[in-house]
Amino acid sequence: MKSLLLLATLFVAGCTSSVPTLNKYLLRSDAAPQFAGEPATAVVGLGTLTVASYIDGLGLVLETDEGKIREARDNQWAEPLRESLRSYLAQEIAAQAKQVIRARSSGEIDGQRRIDIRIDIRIDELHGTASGEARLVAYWTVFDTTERKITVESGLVESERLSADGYPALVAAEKVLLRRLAAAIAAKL
Amino acid sequence: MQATVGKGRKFSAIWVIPLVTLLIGVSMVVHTWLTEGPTITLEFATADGLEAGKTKVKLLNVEIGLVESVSIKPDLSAVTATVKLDPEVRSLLLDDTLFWIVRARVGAGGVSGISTILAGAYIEMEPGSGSIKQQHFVGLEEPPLTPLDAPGLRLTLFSDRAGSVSAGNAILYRGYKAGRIETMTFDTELRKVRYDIFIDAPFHELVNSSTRFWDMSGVSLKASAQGLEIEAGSLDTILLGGVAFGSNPNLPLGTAVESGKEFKLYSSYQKILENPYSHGAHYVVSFKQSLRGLVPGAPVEYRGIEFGRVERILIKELAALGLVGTGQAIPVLIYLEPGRLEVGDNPEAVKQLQQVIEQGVRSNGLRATLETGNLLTGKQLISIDYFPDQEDAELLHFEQYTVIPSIETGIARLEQQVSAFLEKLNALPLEETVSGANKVLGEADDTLASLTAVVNSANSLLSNDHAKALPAELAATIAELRGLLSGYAPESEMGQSLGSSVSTLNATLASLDTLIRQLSIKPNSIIFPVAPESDPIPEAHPK
Repeated sequence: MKSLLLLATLFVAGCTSSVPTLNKYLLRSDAAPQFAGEPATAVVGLGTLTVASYIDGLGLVLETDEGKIREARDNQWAEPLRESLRSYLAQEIAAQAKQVIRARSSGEIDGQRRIDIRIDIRIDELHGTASGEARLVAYWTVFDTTERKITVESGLVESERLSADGYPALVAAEKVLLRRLAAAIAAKL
Repeated sequence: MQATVGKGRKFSAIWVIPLVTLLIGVSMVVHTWLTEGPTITLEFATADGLEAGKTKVKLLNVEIGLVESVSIKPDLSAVTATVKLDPEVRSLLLDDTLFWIVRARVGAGGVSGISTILAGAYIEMEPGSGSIKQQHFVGLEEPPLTPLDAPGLRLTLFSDRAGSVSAGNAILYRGYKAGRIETMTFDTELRKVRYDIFIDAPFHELVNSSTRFWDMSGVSLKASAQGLEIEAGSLDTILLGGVAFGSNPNLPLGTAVESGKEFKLYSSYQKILENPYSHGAHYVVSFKQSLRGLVPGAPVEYRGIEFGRVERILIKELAALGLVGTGQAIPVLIYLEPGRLEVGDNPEAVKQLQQVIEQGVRSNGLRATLETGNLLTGKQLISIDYFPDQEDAELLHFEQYTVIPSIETGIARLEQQVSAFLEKLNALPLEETVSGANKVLGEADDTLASLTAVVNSANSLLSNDHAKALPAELAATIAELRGLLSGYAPESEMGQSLGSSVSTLNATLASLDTLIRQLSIKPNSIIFPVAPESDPIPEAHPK
C-alpha cells in the first residue's frame, strides 16, 4: 500500500513536469572530401588535437556575462568536439590545400609511409559571447617528423557575428570560424 | 400477692430483622467480590491519550476494561493508570502480559491506529504465557511489531553508525521481506547502535553463523574505469532504509543459530566481501625499526598468507606512559583472523590461534618481522613466522594486549647474520683445511686443462655463421620495437584513443560531480526532480 502511494505520488509529480527537447548539432564540413589527390611530396596528417576542458563536454557553451559561461543542457554537439573537430578540420584543410590530409596517424612501421608533416592543434576558446558573436582562439604548429623540428607555429583569434538568435546560428558561426582556422593552416603548408 | 419472677426470653424476635439484613449484606459483598473483575495498575511515560472513565482496554478489539483513574507518580518519572478489567481476563494477567496505548502513528513501519483519531486512544492488551500472576505492569511506549509467540528468530545487530536504518524498517532476503527491525537503541557501553530484529518463519532457517547483515538503504554510486555503477534496493529501502542478509560466497556454511545471537551490521555488501570474518584477536607487536610505510590496514602475513591486518600504531598509548623519545620500541596493534587460515571463524578457532601463538613464542621461535611489501611504494607489512635460531621467550603485555616478540630485519638482521657467520668462521679448523687444500691444488692443474678445452669450444661456437647473424637479428628486433613503440606515441591512434577514453571518463566524472552537487543541495531531487532551467538563447546583436 505504501509503495503504491509513493508510486502514485511520483507518477503525479512526473506528470506535472514537461521534458524539454534535446537538440543535437553535427559538426561536419561542407567542403568536398579529398579522398584521393595528386601524390604529394610529403604525407600530411593531424597529430594531437586538444580542446580546452570547458568545451570538452557535449553542451554548446555560451558566455552569458563577463567571465560567466553556461553549458547548454538542451543544445548539444552530436559528438565530442575532440572527435568531430579532427574530421572537420582535416577535410577543410584538405579542401584548402588541395591535398589529402590524414585525420589520424596510425603509427606506421617500415613498408608504409609515415606522416612527414604533422599538424598539432589546440583549441583554447570556442563559444558564443554575450555580445552576439562566436569566438575562436586556437594555437597550432606544423611539425616536420623527418627533421624533427617545428616548421610553423601560429595562432588565431577570431570572432564572427551571429546571423540570428538561437543555437543553430551559433553553430553556423562557429563553423565559419573553424573554416578560417583551416584556411590559415592550409596557407602555411 | 407475690409477684412471679420468671426467666425472660433470651432472644427477641426483633433481632431477626438485623440478622437477615446482615446476611443479605454479606452475601451481596461476597457476590460483588466474586463477580467483580480485577483492578490493575499500568505505568506509562506520559498520559497522552489516557482519560479517566473514558479510555477503554481492549483485547482483540473486544472491550475488557476501563481506565478508572490516572495519577502522576511521586517521583514524576511516569504516570500510573488504574484500570478495572472484566473478571474473564483475570487468568490472563501474567508476568509477560503486554499493554500499550494505541494511538494514530505514522512511521517507517507504516500508518496505524487511524480509527483512534475519532474514537480516541485505547489500551491494547496482549495475553502472556508466563506462570506468575501480576497486578502491576509497565506499558510499552511503542506497540510490539511482532507477537511474542510468533515463529521465527529474534536477533541483535550492532552497527558503528546509525545510518538510515531505524525501527520498523524491513529485513530483506534477496529483495523479499523476511522480517523487520523492532527496536533501535544506542548501547552506551559498547558505543554502538543496537538493533533488535525479528526474522519471520520460514526465513529464520536461512540464518546461520556465517550469515552477514548489511545496510542497503539509499542509492550507492561507484565510478570506475569500467563505468558508472548504481546499486539500489527496493523503493521502500531507498526511501525508508532497510537491512539485507545473506551468505558470504567466500565463507563455508555456518551452524544453526538460536534467538539472541548477535551479528554485526555492515555498512554495505562490499564491506562484507572485504572483511568476511567476524572473529579474531588483537595482539601488539613492537618495533625499534622505522615504521615508514606501515599504515593501518597493512597486511599481517604468515609465509605470504594474509591472516590479519594492522589496526593502528599505539603512539598515543606510548606517549601516555611517557615513553616516547626514550628509544622504546613502538607498539603496533594488529588484528589476526583465524578464518583466513581456514581453521574456522568462531571463538574456538580464536582460542586455538592464541594457543598456537603462545606455544610458538615460548618454545618454537615464533616472531614478528617488519618487511617491505612493495619496493616502489615503500609499503610495509608484518610477517609472523618461526625462527628456530631464536631463544625461548615469554609473552609480555602492553595495555590489555598480548605482545608477540619481534626481531629486526633488513640491515640489522644482515648484521646479525654476518656476525654469526664470522663466529662460525673463527671456529673453523683452518690449519687442517690449508694442508688439505694443498692436495686439492695439485689436482687443480687437471681442472685448468679441462677449462681451456671449454674456452676453445666456445670460440668455435662464436665463429659460427648463426652466431654472426645475431647482431643483424638484434637490429631488426630493435627496428620492430621502435615501430611498435611509435604506435603508442601521443599522436598515434592508440594514444589518441586512450586520450579520448580518459577525456570521456573525465566528462563522466564531471557529470557525476554535478549530480552529487545537486543531491547535496537537494537530496530528494533523485525522486522529485528539480524544475529544469532552460538554456540561455544566444542573441544576435545588430552591427
